[in-house]
Amino acid sequence: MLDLIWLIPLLPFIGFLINTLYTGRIADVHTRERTAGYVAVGAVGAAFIVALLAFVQLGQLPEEARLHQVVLWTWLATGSLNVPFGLMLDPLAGVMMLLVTGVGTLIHIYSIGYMHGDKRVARYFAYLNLFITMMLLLVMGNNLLLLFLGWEGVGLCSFLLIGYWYEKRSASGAAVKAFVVNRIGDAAILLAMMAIFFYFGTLNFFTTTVNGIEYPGFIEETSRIAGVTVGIPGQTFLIGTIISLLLLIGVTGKSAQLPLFVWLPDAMAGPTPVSALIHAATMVTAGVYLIARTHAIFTPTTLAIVTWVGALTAIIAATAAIAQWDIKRVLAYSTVSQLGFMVAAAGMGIYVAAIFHLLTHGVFKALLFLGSGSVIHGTHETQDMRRMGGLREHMPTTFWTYLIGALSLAGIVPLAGFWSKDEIIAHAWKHQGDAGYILPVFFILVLSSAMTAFYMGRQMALVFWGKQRDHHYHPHESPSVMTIPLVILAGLTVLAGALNLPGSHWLTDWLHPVMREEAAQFSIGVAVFATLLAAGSGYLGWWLYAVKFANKITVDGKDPLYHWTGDIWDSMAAAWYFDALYNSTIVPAYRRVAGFFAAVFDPQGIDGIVNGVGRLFGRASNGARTLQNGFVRTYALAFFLGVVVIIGYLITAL
Amino acid sequence: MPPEIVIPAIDVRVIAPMLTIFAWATVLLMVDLFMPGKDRKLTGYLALAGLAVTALVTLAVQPAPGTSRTSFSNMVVLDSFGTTLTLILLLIAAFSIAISINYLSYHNIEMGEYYPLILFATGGMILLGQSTNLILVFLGVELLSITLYVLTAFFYPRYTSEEAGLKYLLLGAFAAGFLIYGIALIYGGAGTLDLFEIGAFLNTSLAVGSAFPPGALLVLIGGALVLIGFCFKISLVPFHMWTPDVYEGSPTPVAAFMSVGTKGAAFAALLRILIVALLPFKIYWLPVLGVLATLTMLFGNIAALMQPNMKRMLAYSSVGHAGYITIGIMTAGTHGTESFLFYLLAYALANMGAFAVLITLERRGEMAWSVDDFAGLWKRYPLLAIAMATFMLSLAGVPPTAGFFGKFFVFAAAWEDGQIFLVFMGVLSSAIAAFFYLRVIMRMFMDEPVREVIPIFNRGLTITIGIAVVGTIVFGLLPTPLVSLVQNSVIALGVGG
Repeated sequence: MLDLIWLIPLLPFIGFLINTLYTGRIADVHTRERTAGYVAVGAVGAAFIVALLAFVQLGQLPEEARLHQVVLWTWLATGSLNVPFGLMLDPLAGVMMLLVTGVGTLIHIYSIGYMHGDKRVARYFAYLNLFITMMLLLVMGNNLLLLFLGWEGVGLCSFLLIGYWYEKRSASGAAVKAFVVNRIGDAAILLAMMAIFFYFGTLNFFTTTVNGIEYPGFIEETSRIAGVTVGIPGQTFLIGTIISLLLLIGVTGKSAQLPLFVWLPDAMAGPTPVSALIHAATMVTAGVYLIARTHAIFTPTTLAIVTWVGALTAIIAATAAIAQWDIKRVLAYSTVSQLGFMVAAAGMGIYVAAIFHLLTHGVFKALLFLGSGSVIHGTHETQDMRRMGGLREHMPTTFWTYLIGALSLAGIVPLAGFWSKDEIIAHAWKHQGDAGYILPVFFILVLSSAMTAFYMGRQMALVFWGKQRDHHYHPHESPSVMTIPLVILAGLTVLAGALNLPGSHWLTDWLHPVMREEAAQFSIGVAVFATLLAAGSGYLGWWLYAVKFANKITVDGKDPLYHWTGDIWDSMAAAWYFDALYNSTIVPAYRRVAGFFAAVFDPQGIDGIVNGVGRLFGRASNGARTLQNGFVRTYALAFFLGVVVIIGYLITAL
Repeated sequence: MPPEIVIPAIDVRVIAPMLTIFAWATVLLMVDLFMPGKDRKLTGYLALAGLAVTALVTLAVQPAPGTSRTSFSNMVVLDSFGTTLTLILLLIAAFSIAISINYLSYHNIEMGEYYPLILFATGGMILLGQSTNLILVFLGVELLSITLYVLTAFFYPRYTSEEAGLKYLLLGAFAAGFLIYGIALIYGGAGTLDLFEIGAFLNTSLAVGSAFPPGALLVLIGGALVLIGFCFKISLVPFHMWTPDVYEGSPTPVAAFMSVGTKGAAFAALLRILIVALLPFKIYWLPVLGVLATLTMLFGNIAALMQPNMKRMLAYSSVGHAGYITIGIMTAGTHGTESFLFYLLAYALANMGAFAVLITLERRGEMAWSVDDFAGLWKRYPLLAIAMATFMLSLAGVPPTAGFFGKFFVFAAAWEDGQIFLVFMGVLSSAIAAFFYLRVIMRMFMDEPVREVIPIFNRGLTITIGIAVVGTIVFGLLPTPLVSLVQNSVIALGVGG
């Protein structure tokens, strides 16, 4: 089975091909929609089953042997660059692969209900399948280039799916924004890859031997660059720092961290299942995966920066989430904030905790997004929470599952989010002496998690409590094809904490061959403190909006808290004006340069040269054709002249 | 006791492929003579069968890797280079016959001897690829040429076809004069026509003293004339001028056959002569070929730029490609041989395919072959347009087609050999060439149809186009198997082994 892991990305790819080449041609709308959904769900579901079997088999190997590589063919071989198209399965890739295919399958099923009646649904499912393929290549590629293929592939799918309703200007704009912002990060990844190839001569993670050819891996060789520096005299940098900083820039793009997080809230213009799958559970966590995968390269300098990036992102996004009205934007900023937690964890060197939070977050955030999708579906495309209210009676299943997700995100015992978040906070508290910045980071993270509970309490109150504030729609519960995935995800949310409970710490043991970490220490004091804080601020959020100010919330009105906070509230709503900052500095400069190229350089410079050259060769061509006059005597003459010149040259050359 | 007559050992395996194809062609002529009715398609199918049998024989007698066999007093050699080349030539011949079968009857020029003529020409090509003696080389050239004169003029009574045949004959005879004169001079100088012995002679005579021995001088001049004779066959500038007229006048399948088959075989013979016999003179022939290759690439591609007639455009394009192949030939000894074979196959697939598409659009009694006929092809016959686009991209050398790797290997070999200027000129002329290849694609995909053109499809054309498309793309995506094949195709540098 382990030699068949190539099936895992291949199956969704086959689904993609069928839905692209065949399903789109079915004339009957209903048959087409049904076929597209079944094909896509079947493809991902089959991939999940294969992944599960492979995972189990991997677990049966002795711990040190849990790294299986399958090289399918030599992908690129030029000079010293030799890149195999190879997949690998190790404990880290294993858990990622299960998350992607498992949550992916549920979201595919949910999509059948959510996308019902959409006229381009075959295309939707094709993109979704392609996304799963690319994400699997990303986590299973045995070299950086293949990872990068997946990295770019998921970026492409993200672009296509954000802009899925491209008739909406906001959607196509958001798609372009996501793509362009990610390009910045991708360029850094490319540079990092070149640097790694330059210093290690390989892009493979781990050494593998195929048909007698050894493909060396760079992860095992990182000692080779220890202490190697570059730079001008007096100002040198460690190579490891430079490479890891470049990787970090890539991470800030894909995982929506400071300063490149601005694309993620806009990305909510895509269909909600897409937000759940790509912009919450899987793709945006690719950055965290990348850090965990290449952590051997990261130097203490970079790790400090990583920690700060994560912590600041966590708090900035958490404050922004408080002040949103759009149900999905709350979750979007919340995702950014939680990704900040993971990145901060990775920065503090607790990669297992980062991956643990990645997994639990993948489950409960998918649940929350799908729940919000159910709300949007049940309220006829309403996204503004001011227009909702009192939905808990109309949508009981959605309400209860959403409540579980919200409590988990808030960090309430014993749900999954509590355990994973607590591991990060507890570590920061216990290791505050490791470096001067750990203690402030601890306080930032605690504050962020209190805010998390607050905005989730606020959201629950606005959506599910109170009275319905807008009567233009009749709320109804979603069909079972949508609620069943919700229930399953809610169940997983309850259980997922068991992955790494204090005392059993299965995940730490499982990832030990990759991360070599000790089990995290549990601190009952921190746990109680964090829980009380979360419960308190969550209750406060709920109480303020469901009881105290329940009557002050009106359609298109101001937030009740605006009265006391004023400009601060506006700043929070605008995510501290990062977008405005970019729009007033980088964007105009970029536009001017682009405008110069478009209006001056291109038509006069490039086109001038091109047209000039074209005219020149066009004249030459007509000249050449007139030489060809059709007379044999001319041809023979040319021939003879050639002979004379050649013989003449040889005689003089002697 | 009767006197002993010493008969040199004859190894029939060495000439088995030629023997098969010549015998088949001869018998086929007889069979065709007694075939009832006017329909000659059966002759075509029998010729295809003959090619298949020859291919099987070739595979059966192929030498073990790294070895070669010589026989007939070392006049013929069978090495892995010859085997690979023979297989490529047989493929080209099969394509040519497949696209001819319906073409001939459609244009009312169906005569049975057409197919044996193609077989004879193919046999001549195989002989060219295997001979190690200048007399046999000449024999091969003439066998090939004379059949082609007939085939060129086969479009009776179209006067352009007759004119093309006559032109080809006159200029061919002119070139043959130089070739045979060169061979005579070489014999005068070296006292032998055997390629291995000529090489050995040059090595010893040049090693003796600092003065240039007169024998070697004769060989040098003779070698230049032989080279010129071949330059005519492979249409290097300025010996190329017959090419557009002859291609335009001859039946389209014949033009296709000539553009790849003749060229491939002549290049192979030239390659063998250059590296087996004339390698000591590399300092002399290298600059000559370099200048000719540069002129050819530039002139061929520039002349094709504004050409509205597709058949002439492909003729000029084939002139340009001869320039690229010449670069491969010049670096013979390093990676030149393998890049030559790879290029030949990639070029053969794309060019045969392009000519086959041209045939589907060719109408009875017309001699237009205008690029206008391709306008808007995408909207009416998308698959045909995609096929043609694949061929154009491969000819232009755009990845992921086989043509890209062909150019890549040729340029890489030249770069390793230190021919930086040639690589530069090659890339420059490819950029020029991209213009007219892409123009065809643009007309097909972006323009509206100019006039109503209904393509003619039949089994031979469809299969040829299909194989050519698949081959072009597959070898473009996965060149590795082909590379290992051509890497094992080495030229025998000595007798036996």
